[in-house]
Amino acid sequence: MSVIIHPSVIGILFGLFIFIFYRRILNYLAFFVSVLIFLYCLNLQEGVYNYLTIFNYDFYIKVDKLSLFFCYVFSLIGMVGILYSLHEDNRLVPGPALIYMSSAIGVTLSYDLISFYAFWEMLAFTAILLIISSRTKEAYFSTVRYAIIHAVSGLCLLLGMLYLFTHYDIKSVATFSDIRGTLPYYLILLAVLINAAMPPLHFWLPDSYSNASIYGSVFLSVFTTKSAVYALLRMFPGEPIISVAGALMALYGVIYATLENNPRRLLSYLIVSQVGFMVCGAGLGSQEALNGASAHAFAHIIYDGVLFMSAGAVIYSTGLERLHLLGGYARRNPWVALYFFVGALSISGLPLTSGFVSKSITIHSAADLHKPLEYLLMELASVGTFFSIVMRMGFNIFFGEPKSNYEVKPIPWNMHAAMFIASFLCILIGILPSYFYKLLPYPEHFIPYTFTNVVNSLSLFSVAALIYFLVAKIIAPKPIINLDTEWFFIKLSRAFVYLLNKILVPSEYRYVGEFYRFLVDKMLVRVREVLVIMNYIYLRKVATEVPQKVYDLSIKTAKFYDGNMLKYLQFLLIFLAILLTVMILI
Amino acid sequence: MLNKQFRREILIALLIVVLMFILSLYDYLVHEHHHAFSFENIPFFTGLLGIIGALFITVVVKILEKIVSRGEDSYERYYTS
Repeated sequence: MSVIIHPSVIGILFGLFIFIFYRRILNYLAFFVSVLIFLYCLNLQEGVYNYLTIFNYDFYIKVDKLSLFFCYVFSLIGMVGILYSLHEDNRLVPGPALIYMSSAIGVTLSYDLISFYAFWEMLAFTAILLIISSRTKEAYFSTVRYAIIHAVSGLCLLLGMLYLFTHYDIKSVATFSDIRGTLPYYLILLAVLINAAMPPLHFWLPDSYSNASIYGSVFLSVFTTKSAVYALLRMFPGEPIISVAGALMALYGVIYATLENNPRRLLSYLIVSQVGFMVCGAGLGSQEALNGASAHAFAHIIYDGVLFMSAGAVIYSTGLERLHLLGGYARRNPWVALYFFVGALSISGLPLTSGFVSKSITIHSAADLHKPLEYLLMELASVGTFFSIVMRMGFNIFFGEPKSNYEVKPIPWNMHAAMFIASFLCILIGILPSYFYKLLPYPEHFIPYTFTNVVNSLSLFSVAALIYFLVAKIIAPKPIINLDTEWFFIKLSRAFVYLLNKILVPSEYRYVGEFYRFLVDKMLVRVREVLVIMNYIYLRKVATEVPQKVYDLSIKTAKFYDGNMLKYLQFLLIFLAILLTVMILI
Repeated sequence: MLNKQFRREILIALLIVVLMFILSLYDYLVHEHHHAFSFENIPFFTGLLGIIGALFITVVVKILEKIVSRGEDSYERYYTS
């Protein structure tokens, strides 16, 4: 078995160093390390490698086409994200981002379940640092909610793993279809679906991503959900429940996105929707569907990066984070508008963009497998995506008249560079799909650019645009917030507290308390009486007499310890002479 | 129903829709297709799906807004920055 240096170890060690000894200059070190990790990932060869041995337990990584595919894009977007935040003086961004990226790479490369679990937990922990990087009260509360839901995910994963170890002797990350229907299977599936933000357990995503710093949210939008997609593709391909659930998730996300007024919450709901496509692809389970899910994850990571970066650029330059306050931004900064629309058209899946060549595979595979429900739901979600991001968010931020008097601050070069690189990649993948398909885990022969596909796609979106312009006033952004499934959890926890206060506490006081009061009172009175006697007899004596004796002793010893060194030496010699004599006599 | 603010945009979008309709009819008549579902044989099916989808989303969003939307100050917890 070959031994290898784990690429994540490099990122974690440097990330820790940068976090602990943070200076702004170390942002450049973080960028350099991210480039190094990207190049290292590009040079990884397929195979199983040992990277660590502790107490005779070997930790492995497995490099195959699926893990490599995710490694490439994780390291690439990590590098672009660090470039985007290069000017920012914030301890909680470059170091944690590097560790976060390394953890995601670690998840994709893990071959043994312990490594997988360790990187999974590290992913949650570093995400918390990135959420709190904005250092606001809202971010703090989001962090708490994020930590709770991911603790549940981590616990489910741990329990599932322990069950696998003890009952099935499974210790490696592989397809779990053989143990379908068992408890550990569903525990691990639940853990993965929480991280994939499957409704109704998705509320942590829009909550935390919108409250993180603009730099933090670029990283957050990429790694956690897509690591979960990788886990689904690796462990649960062909799971029928998740194919329909994924398609529903895709539609759910766009409906909430269309309702949103906060650009980053809108984008977060679109993550839920786009991950739905991937989950559906994983659930469909054919090689083409798995390719579709992988391709879509890759493309999504890049265009989602562009969208979060351009939304962040708008927030950075205007200080505003509400659609109903913005407008006309394209006249002030046309470059950001260009980057945004490249990302927005990509996420919608318009021809010549990465979304078109990736999303079409999953939809095509649903048609090939004759799954009309999944097919129609995904097509509807595509309409909704275009409707919510290109039309609603794009037009309300970049076109029309400004709805408030906002100033526009210039954007640093590194933010421009990062957005340009990611936008360029969106177009590059869109116009050269054959090269992109060669990287996919399985052989792919799908041809996206047929006359029918292009006309169908353009028909779908032109009609959606027409409808939007007709109903634009009806769905115009308003200063509102929207309750989501967290409402049920809030109500549930309140009901629990109410139950405790109104029912359990009085009944405990009335019945259980009455019963115990007799015993406790009697016992406590007796104990008190004993303690009082002990206090009077012993403690009082000790408290008064011991200090007096210590004082008397100190007076006597003070006569001896008078500070005369010669006398000390004399006594020491006498003592040694006596000791020597005794030893000789014995 | 016509939104006067977007009159120009509506016209452009309408022209593209008409063009796509013609192209899809051409595609329907000229090319031989092997569709997975029978509903895909309807001419300009994706355009119709786009109309239904966009209207469906608009209606659902308006209904949902009545149920789940609140004023920004009305929510008691520290929700969003």
